[in-house]
Amino acid sequence: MVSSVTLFNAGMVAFFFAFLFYTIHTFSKTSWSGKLATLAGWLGVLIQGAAFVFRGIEKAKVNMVSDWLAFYKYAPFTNMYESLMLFGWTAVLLYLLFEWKYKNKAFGMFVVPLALIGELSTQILGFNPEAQPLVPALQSNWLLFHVVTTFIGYAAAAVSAGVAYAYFAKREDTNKRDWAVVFVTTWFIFFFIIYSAYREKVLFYLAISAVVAAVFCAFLYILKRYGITKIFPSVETMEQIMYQSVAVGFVFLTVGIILGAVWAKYAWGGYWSWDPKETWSLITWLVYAAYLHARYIKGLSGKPLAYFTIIGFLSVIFTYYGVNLIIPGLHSYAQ
Amino acid sequence: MLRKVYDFFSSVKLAIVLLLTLAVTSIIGTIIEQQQDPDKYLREYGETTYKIFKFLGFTDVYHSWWYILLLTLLGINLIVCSIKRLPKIWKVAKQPRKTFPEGSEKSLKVSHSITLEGRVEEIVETITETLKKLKYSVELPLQDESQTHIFADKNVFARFGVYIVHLGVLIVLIGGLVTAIFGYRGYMNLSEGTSSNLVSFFSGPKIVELPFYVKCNKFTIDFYPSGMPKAYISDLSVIENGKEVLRKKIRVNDPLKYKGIYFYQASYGQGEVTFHVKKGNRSETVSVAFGQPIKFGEGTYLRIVSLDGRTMTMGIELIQDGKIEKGIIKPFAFYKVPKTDVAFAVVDFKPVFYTGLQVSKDPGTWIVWVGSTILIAGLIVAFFIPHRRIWARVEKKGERRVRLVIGGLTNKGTEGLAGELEEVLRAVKSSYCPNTRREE
Repeated sequence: MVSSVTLFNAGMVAFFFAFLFYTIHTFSKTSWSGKLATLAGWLGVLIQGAAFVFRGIEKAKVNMVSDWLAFYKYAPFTNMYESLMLFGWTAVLLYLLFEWKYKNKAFGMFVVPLALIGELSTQILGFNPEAQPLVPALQSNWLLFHVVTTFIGYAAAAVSAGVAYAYFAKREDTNKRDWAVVFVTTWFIFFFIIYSAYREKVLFYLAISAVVAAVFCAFLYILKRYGITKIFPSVETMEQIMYQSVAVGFVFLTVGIILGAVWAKYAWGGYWSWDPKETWSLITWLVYAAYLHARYIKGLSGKPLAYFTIIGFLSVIFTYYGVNLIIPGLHSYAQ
Repeated sequence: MLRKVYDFFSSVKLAIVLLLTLAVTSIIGTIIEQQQDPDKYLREYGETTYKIFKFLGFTDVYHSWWYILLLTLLGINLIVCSIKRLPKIWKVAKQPRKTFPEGSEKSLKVSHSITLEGRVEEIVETITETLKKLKYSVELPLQDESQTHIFADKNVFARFGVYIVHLGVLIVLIGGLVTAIFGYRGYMNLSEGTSSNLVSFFSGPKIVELPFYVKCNKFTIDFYPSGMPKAYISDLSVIENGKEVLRKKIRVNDPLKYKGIYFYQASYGQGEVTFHVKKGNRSETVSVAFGQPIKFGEGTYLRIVSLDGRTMTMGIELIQDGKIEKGIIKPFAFYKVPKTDVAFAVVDFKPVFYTGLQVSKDPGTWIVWVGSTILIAGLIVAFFIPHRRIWARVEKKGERRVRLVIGGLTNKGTEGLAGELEEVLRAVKSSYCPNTRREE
């Protein structure tokens, strides 16, 4: 039988081609490249979807159960490798759905590589790709639902933040402060991701992340400078997309947190223990709640709202990486 | 003055400030470990820093007075905001202007105006039917010889989605309050064959006496071939008035519940001691697991917390009058418990495994579940269900000539509304518009 890792890798190859064709499409505006990009994206989603099923079967095997229903109980989302695959997969899927709804392929060039970096990072950062048996705490009927809803929330947050960055490249009046926000936030995002894997040489990884963030900013600046952002949807549509993906993300995050609370009630003796992961998910929730209320302040320009979505995503990154690896707690499933 | 307070609490800006303040201050508790022993803080941070932490409540952020104050303010803000805005929304939802006078279509997001061939009644009938098929409730607020107005409304409850969400959040907060006041969490260590009714709190001297006993019949650990633990299983019995009333094998994720109290498989450890207890001229032998207290009198408990294998001495904690006193004892020597007529000696030690149960009582849980359900339902209504309204005016322009002006409003996503208007137009055009003419 084909191993799930092979399928995940094949999916990554498809995502890479999707990224390639989206980039060609953005610059050449040819319709064949756009079609190929979307096709490659869906192909990747399909292959990795199959990979998850295979993974479930493999996990049932290492957990020594033969019941095929065990697939749902031994859901393949329990270590860093599997959860990053799920993150990438959901982000691309969500993006493709937005593309289909808005008939605009401009963001593929941003979201697909983001997902791909997430998935590839498992190899760079050395997370074990082998299917491992589940520790007793994770053997629960709630696992699948809790993890899936939370990850849809995360992926929606990623989509909204991706659009927020593109939004600053698109706006005519992006000033120094906006660029500073873009730089600092991307710097922190990369730093959390890299540092959480190695946990040493802080300054070295801060420097590396600063370089990556600078390259990212330069990339956005070039897009803006050479008018490539013209093919993006209008500023208003981008604000709408940000809002809609936050709305989807907020609902799923809420459901994810509540399902986590239900699970906690049956596993740990209480629906809320102020475990660092729980607390950070609450912080993320509060930031997005503040964003949703900020929309009701009259006369507030779109920029502060875009800041909010970026800060929300920063909080997601910290909930996901930082808490897993830096702060000990019940959710440190990485090691 | 009162007006000012009211305005302060009814502002959205306050809500944003509170939400963000809660978000930022919550971070503190994820950086500084919470609810630890004072000794641990002193070792890690030094005395001055610890005093500052203690003063600011940083060692227990989520139960500090200012955190609870912030949550209370948020609750008040939520209620006042809702009270202020509800009448306005109620008016929009329940008392809309139903007629559709000339020119009012300009204020609508989407509107069309076309000329049709047919009788007013037929066209009104067709529009009404189509709108009903689209699940609108339809009214005819004005009907005279020259014109008929149509008013249609759908999902008006969606206007209240935000209030449903706020209600849910409020109920969750109340549930949290009930938990904080009436609930507790503690632990119980039981080695095979022993039973107890004493639940110790995780920190501090508090001990709860349950009205029944829990006995551990058997404790097992299953392993994967790799040596990783697969399952921890405790076979427990509940004993009330000397009779077994319930028996269950619990494991992680599958607790035992009796009389509103949950027993969770939480940990395990090693060590069981046997006490010889003399009370006046009566004496008995009792075995308990490490960490599990034994009762010597009203408000007087003792537990073994450590064993020094080299000197064969044991660390003890004597809990009396709500205070913990630490000490060291030797086996086989009798000790008198202060303020009682009890004397005890440790007569045996066995390195057997014991099961660590977490015990909790939480009457707030169901309130939180109810609040959560309302919250999720509210979010779905608030974000995904659009309230839509359609107005139409059918004017008589000649014997078989009619002008139709139709338009609509929605609180989210105009595409859906535009689609439904198109559908209505298609229905009338197919029957009453042979040469499809459209103004504007």
